[in-house]
Amino acid sequence: MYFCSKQVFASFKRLASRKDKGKTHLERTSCLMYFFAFDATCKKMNHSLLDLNPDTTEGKKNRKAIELEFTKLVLLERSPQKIIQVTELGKIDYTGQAPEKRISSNFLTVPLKKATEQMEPYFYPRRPPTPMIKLGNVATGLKWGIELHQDWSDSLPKLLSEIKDSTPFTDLAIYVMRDTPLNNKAEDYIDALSTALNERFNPQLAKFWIQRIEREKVLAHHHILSIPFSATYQAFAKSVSDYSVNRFESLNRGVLINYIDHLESTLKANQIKFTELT
Amino acid sequence: MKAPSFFIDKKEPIIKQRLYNGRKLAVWEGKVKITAIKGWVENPRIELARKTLTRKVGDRQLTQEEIADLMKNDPEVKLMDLRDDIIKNGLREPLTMSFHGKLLDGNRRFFAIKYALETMPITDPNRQDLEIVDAYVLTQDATEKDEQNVLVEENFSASFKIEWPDYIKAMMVVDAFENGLTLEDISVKFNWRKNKVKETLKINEIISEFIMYATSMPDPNDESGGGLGLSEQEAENVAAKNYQYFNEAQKSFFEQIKTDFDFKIQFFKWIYEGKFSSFPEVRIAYKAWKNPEAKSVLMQPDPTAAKSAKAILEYNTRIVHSTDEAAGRIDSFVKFLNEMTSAEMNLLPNRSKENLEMALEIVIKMSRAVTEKTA
Repeated sequence: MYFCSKQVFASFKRLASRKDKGKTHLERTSCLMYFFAFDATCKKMNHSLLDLNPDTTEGKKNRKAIELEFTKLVLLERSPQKIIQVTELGKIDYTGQAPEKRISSNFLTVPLKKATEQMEPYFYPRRPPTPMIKLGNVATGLKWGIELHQDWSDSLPKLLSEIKDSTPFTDLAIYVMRDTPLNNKAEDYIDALSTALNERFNPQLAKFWIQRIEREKVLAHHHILSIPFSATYQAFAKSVSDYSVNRFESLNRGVLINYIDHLESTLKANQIKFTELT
Repeated sequence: MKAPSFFIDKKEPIIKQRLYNGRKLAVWEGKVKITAIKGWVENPRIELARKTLTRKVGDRQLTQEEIADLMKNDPEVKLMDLRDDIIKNGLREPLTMSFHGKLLDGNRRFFAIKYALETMPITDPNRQDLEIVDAYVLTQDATEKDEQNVLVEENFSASFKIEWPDYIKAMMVVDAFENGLTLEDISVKFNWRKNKVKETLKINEIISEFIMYATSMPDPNDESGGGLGLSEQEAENVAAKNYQYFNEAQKSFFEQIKTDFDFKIQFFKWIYEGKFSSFPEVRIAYKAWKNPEAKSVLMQPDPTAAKSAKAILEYNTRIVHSTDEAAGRIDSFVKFLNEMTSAEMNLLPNRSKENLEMALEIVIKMSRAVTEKTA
């Protein structure tokens, strides 16, 4: 089973920033996604320190692995004509460059390269000062090394503080696990997320995240659908252009209302003004 | 230009210009029978009381009498005071209505007049002064925006009138934001600074979470004990009553509320328990949460717990200050001693030299004893 598209979309749109201007949320989203991609790669490789040296076989392999994890986190749909992805939590981006390119031309180029030349320990991100990962020789012992920063668990909630949402850890986990097959025997969303987080991330991140989700339970029941799951996979950000008008003629009223809800949610998530149908 | 139909015929209404929220509007001025006016049932001022009543009587339009009763019984509306003033002094300020008879300003005065008429004997000669009242009426071509300007001027601007409660004004701002208006639009619409609008949205963020928490059921299996199990209406009433404390939280520790979940839940519990009795007590809530001594005091059920926690924090701050001050004095005295020449030393009276020697011996002994104890 999977999280149903309605739940994923509702969770996703709650992750939007309270600010309607500025790049802070976009930058913080990137930091979070790099961090999750790094941790998932470590889990997959069974390492706590990764060498991202662009000139060695090992480094190239690790780079590919982290690019792949990043892509899994942000890519919603890809076809030869278009890429639909997330560059900022709560908004869908139809225009940006490919996710692999995004991480390689940003994170793997700018901060990582800069860290190789530093004489002092180099932490990321530097703005806001919420270190999540250590980079470079002085901080990790490897010129192209990348490792978890000891303060990451203090930094993570701060990176989420611009999100208006009252249950950011729960909604973020649902978004991250939107494509993940969930344990069919899971008792509830927390149980399903616990298994999924433990499978995808290192124990310390998974444990921290699950604890936060459990704490948010007191507020989250307002946000979680009575049945948040679906037996089959549903892409939550299917491009509107994929649907032809004829397709709707055979649909019943309930399905159409759900679809209108979905379209309105998309408009709201992207802060596009419209008049709601009553 | 056509005058509204509800003006009485005795005195010809005249048209004049009045200023509302910086905008000149054409209005009719004339006399209207109080029985021809309908009170504003949807008046946001009594929103919470109305919701409570609607829950009791079911989802239907409330009658004029029910609204009058709500206003009489809401202490914040102070209807009886206004009624007494109107009986003594008459209606000091005309009512303002839309062309179609919607009361835009003067709802309190309108219900106070009705209240006065209810209590005055039918033979009272002063009744006639209240049965027909002065009114301004917007012209037929007034837009919705013009009506909005009247509402803003009369209810959002500080004046001698009783403004709408903060919570109600905030909810109108939040509504406007959720309906897609930009911060700039809202700022213009309600004549508030953009920063005030932003702050209001942040306060609402905390209040929304409070309501979510308060309406969740208690859960003994949850580490936090679950929610408070209040109804939506009860939770909203608590939020409205404590609106300014939420504002203080927004100003003093918004970031911490967003990042420290346990503190957030505890702060909500404190609000519900009525832990705070002043803004300074709210202001120190997060510092107290992080200070074990102040926290343990604040967690006590004692009604003066917040006051005591605040006193502890202030005392600690003073101790640190005085420690710094002592260190500073010692440093400058040592500097003074080091700069003394032997000739100057020689000029000191023996008594002073003995006192200095004794003081140094005591300080050295005490310092060694403390160091050994710490080690």
